[in-house]
Amino acid sequence: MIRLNDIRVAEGVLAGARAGDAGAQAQLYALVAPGVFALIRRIVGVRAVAEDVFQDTMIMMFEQLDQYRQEAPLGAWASKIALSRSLMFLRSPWHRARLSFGANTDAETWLDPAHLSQPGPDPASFDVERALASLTPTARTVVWLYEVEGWSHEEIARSFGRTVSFSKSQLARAHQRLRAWFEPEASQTCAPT
Amino acid sequence: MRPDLDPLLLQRLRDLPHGTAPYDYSEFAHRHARRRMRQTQRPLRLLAAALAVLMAGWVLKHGLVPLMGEESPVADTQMPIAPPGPEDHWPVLLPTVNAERWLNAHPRRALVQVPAQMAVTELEDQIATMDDQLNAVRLSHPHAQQLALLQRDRAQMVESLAQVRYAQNLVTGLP
Repeated sequence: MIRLNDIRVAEGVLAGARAGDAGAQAQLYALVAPGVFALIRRIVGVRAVAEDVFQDTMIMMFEQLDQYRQEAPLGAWASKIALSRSLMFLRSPWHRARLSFGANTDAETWLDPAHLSQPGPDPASFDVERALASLTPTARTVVWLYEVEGWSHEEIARSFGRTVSFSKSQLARAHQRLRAWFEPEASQTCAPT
Repeated sequence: MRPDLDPLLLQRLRDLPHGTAPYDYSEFAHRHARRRMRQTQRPLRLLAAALAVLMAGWVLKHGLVPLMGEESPVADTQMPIAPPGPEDHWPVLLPTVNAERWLNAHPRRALVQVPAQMAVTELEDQIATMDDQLNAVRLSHPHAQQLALLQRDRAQMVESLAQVRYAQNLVTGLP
């Protein structure tokens, strides 16, 4: 799997996309869209919502392309927009009300075969998806950004508007929970009394 | 407390496939254009809805007589002279002169409240239509892709309906 942080774009394609060339924009979209959608889907959980957030993210990315200074790979820049849009959704009163109305939990919607990464996933990746779905959206986001996308605790903390220790404690608790998921007996013997 | 994950688990986490984007660039561009068009049309739609509600409210309160009634010299002079036959009907003429005069006689600014129930009804109608389409597709062309697209659109409509209802709840809960 290609990390978003590793996605770079040729200068010509970037210039074309900035100038509004549809072909260049299509190339750029094809490069970035799968990773951006995967990130959003893992943060917000529900696919229908993820598609809305994804649409917003991609629109914002194309609209703000002139502000991209190429100090970081394009994928990293796009992932920051995706994260900010996803967090906006998670913090919205609408989302909180939706949870209180008893909407489907992340785990239920996530484990719907239509929402998994690929049709007919192998059992191992299905199990990892289930384990991820058992985390809270914040913990899941921190795990994904740190372990998969390679973000530092400082970057995560800045994106959440929190301290570095917030990111570290979220990660530690998520690790604990994932270990408990995969090694229930070991976690019981190690659990503090 | 052990800080790290098992390397094998970590590798499985990193090996999770990205999957694909929900739609390709042409669909994205299409949706983007549609959304922009909706945004540019929104003020006009609101204005039209406000005017319609204003007119309907006025008609409910005062009836049609002041609009259609005595002071319609232009409309009256344009009426056909010959009386209608037994099966003929008089054409319905809009007394635009009177309507303009009436509108000009009122203050320009007006505060109009459009009930959210209109939006709820509209969305429920759309969902019902979507259900019909889904049934038709299931019976005639059970293509999984088309079915999935329709189901996704329906899910989005249901989400929108829930949002509007939530807004209604908020409004009715206000002091």
